[in-house]
Amino acid sequence: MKISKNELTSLLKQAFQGCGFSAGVYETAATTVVWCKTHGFDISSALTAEKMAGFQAHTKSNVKILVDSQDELSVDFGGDSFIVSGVLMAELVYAKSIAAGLCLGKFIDCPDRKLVSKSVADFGQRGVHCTAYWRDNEDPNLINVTRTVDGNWCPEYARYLSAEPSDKRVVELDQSSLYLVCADTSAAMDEYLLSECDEIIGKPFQYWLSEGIKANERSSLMDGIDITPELWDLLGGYRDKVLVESTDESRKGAGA
Amino acid sequence: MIELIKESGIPLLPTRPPATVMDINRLGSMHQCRLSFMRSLMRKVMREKWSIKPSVIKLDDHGYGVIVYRVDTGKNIYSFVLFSNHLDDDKRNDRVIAEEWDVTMTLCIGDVTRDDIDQMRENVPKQEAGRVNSKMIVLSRGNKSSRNFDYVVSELSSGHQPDKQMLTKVGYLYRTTAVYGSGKFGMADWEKVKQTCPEFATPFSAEMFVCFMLRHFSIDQAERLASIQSPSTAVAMDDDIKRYIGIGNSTGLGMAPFLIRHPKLISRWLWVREQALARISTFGDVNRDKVNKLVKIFVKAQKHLEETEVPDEIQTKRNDVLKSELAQVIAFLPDFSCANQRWDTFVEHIGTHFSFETQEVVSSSLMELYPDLVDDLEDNLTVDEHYRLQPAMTLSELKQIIEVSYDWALEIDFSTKDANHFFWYFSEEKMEPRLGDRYNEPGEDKEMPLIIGRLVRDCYNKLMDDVVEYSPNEMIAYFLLRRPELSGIVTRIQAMSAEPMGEIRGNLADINMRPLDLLRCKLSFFGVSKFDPKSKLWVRNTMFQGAPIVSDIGKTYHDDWYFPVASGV
Repeated sequence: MKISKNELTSLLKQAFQGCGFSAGVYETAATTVVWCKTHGFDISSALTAEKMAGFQAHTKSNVKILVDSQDELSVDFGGDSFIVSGVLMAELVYAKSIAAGLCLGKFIDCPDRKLVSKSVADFGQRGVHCTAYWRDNEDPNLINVTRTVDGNWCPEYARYLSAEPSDKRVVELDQSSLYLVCADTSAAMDEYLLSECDEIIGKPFQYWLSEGIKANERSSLMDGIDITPELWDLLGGYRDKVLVESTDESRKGAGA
Repeated sequence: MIELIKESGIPLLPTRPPATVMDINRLGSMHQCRLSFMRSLMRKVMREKWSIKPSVIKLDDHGYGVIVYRVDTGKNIYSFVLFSNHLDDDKRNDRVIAEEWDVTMTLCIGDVTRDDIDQMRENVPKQEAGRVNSKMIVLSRGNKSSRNFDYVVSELSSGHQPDKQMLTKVGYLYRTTAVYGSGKFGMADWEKVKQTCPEFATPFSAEMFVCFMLRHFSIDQAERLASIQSPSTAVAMDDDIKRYIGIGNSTGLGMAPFLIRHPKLISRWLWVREQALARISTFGDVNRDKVNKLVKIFVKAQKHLEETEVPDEIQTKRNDVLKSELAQVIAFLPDFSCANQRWDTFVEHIGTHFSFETQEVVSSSLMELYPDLVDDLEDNLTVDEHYRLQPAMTLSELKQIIEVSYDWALEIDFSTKDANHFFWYFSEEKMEPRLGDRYNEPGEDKEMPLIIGRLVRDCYNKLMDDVVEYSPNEMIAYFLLRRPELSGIVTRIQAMSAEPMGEIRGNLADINMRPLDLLRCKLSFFGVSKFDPKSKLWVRNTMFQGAPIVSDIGKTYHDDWYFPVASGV
């Protein structure tokens, strides 16, 4: 079925609220998911029945900051989805890069890493050079990269075949970690990539240019967003948890 | 804001302070003005000479069936599709929770095919329970004002014109009970409308146009039925009476959260209006012609108020005070303006000696004198509504922003029971926004975060704690990692520090709060008249009364249908 962007945003906000997310958190989570969905990123694995039930049962954050230096933030998410606190952690990486010139964020054991793409787009719009990369869930030989492109508000997405083992840092990436780099200049970003993960420089195995990602957004806007009836129902079930039972008294609160 | 004034060549001017403009009591006293969306829409329709003609008429002798009007704007084609049904009187209900209506309708991009109409027939009459598609930009419904409608049909069928005085009590044949846009139920998102429908790229213009079309249909329908009932004696309605017929509207609480959730947009609307007033104060020449015209407007406003009958005691009293104060203003205006030669002195005098209602009528009326200073501002009523966190901001910087921009929130005492009386929530009935009594109704745990003053106060208290426990120079990002529940309000505070007029200055949970004030503010931007409060929570009003009719398009247009009256003044 097709739904509008506004509809998906409202539904997700209320569904995440129904899962127990607090104000602010559910709004950020919803806009992050909607951005990825409308720009063509497959986010179905982030919104399964199991994941939603997990959000609801989740009362205490597993996130622990391991390293917090001027130019590095290393965080163990303990299996918590990027949806829950990934955006705020990414914001901290961005904020540190303003002071330090470059900051590396290492998000360990962090599911739903693709959602970082929205943060990359946001930081690009704020004028920061940003690259996020993570080893593929299904194929460990693939490395996914989302990065800002000079002069373009929309990032590009690429997939690289992992090269022979080397001493470059990218090989340390396990299949549940995400690296996020923010730099104030393209030179600083290039220098980092050359020295730390040259595997994601050069021609990728697959790539989607900014223009293609923008075209996905335009198509979502013009024709609506495809969503399965199952996901619609699943989210609707959580949304219903924030609705209040109607009574004669409550009808008076609507002007009856 | 620098990009705001497009191509006018007029500099940005200082406005009244936000504390003056955003007082909830003032917002609850606002009137339509030249910048109201209906006024702006009509200028566009008349300027661009839109063609509006029926392309499909499948209505039976009772007026039931489907009708499609083809709208050719010169740039694009739109279709207004309306389904008319029989509705038992006992089922006629203006509340959102109603499930059947006299008419249901939609505005679509482009021409519609028979298949499109069939698909619409399956969904449009169901309204919230149906699914539509991204070709549609507005979905709405309306009910007959049975007494008025039957009276008008009866008069026309017997060869008489309806008595205009009869129409002063209820100035419409149909009233809308909900007008949906912005992607609801699968419709086109606002972003799509903005990008692909230049005719409707200003806020709510498509929604207003649907109301205009319902008004057109209502008159069409009355004439058609009169002709069917008595072909030999029926007459067409006089154009003058047609113009006096508006479209009714019932607006409830659902509109109030919009004002709170879109502070940047609201800030823009009010700021633009204030710019118009500032231009008039700075550049508006005061001469005999202008003063005479202003007096005429006030006289018309008085007449309009005399013809506005509302059962609500508070509104009646306010209208009475307004009429009496307008008489005083009319009496002193000529001498005053000659002596002072500037409108800002006049506005200041009104601001210190008269009620909010009078102040706001004066503001709206002054705008009528200077279309050249006002009308170009209508191009600036949209805004980028993205709200971005500034994570590198320090705790002390945020604290300072709150103390400067949200001083009004810090002055509210939230410690009393009465200050926390109301909470806002979504009902399971059509997800209707409602207001609950926190101490006597369930649902507080599902409260919508709309009490901005209290959220700011809570944020400020925690900020003060952390300034002491951590460091004033700590980045906000750390504060939010400890307190993620504050990320929404912190982002809002940061964003709104540059938008002076987005926050409604009042405690929206207070036992004495009148949601009606919020509704009135938004409705005045729509351009409605005849506010008729039915309780603190909902209001009836009239749209497009006095506006041009479809057959006026192409003729010389006088944009002077403010404060509509039954007889000439």
